[in-house]
Amino acid sequence: LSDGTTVQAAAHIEAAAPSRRTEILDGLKITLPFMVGAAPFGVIFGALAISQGLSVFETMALSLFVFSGSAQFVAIALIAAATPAWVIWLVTVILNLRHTLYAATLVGYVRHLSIGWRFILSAGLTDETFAAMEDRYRRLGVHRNSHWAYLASIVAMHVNWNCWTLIGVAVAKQMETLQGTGFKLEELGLEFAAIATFIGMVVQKLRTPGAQVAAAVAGILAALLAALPYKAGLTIATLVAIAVAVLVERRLERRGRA
Amino acid sequence: MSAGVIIFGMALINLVLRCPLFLVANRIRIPGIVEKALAHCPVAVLTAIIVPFALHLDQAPDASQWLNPDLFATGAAIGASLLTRNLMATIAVGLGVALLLRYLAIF
Repeated sequence: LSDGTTVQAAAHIEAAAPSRRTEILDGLKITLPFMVGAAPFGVIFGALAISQGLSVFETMALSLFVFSGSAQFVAIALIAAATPAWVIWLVTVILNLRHTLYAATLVGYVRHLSIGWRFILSAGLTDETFAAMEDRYRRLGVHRNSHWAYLASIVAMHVNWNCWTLIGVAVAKQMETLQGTGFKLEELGLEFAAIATFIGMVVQKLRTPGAQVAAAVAGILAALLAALPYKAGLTIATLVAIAVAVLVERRLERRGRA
Repeated sequence: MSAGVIIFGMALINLVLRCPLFLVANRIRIPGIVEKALAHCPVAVLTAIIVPFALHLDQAPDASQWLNPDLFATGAAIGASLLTRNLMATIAVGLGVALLLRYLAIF
């Protein structure tokens, strides 16, 4: 394992950099499978929110300013059930705690940017952009234009998500016609595009014992804790897996030295 | 409380969870042990998303839960990734198998 992202970052920053245009196009390219995968969820969210009694403005505000698939779905269910605001906010924190981990993982790659850039790049951080950009930074390092790929990924995910939400809102207004045909968007199977992308990324990372331990522990724990409410299992499984992987790596290092 | 206030609060929480580390990025140094731990974050979080999805654990339990198209598509995607080491091929095979099984309505 390398000594960390900051050293890498410093080493690559001076190297010859591809143009902004190249970076933007590559950012879009690595985000495309996630855009396809998010489409059905965007439509379902838009349709569901309207059918649960949210206004078009409230529905779009969730997709524009919260942008967190799972938190949005839970929120419309809880709002419809007249849940107290503090409960909904607590659930949002539990659901999205992993975003703090994402920011911590990527922080070494953005520390040279202006505060405005750092604000935009962190405010727009989602599961998909994190997966795409963490992988990219690890493969290609960081140079003076890499944040354009990051920005392109964020903008693409947000435009995509909001367009599909809007289509879902329109669909909800036409619900009766759709129900007649028995058409169900969630049965199209498109959401597997995002999962397949995650799988490809994980498999290529499983080359070190630490990564293998992290995957095994995270997978088993996430399966065992799947019944916990509000996806708390996801956060717990991730944190425990990281801790166990670090401990195993330390053990192996010590044994290697002995 | 109105839905508007709830949504505003959610948006604020998301900023508080995502932004502070980036905003102080130029003034903090992350300790080596933490950096080593964070290197495992992608594998851990992505696996924790994939496994419950593939086993349909987030859906209402039923008898055919284990034998679902997503589990087979997951297997196919892992195989494709190991064989080709190519992300696009992995996505094509995984999505292809997921769609095929669904349209053949085997499950």
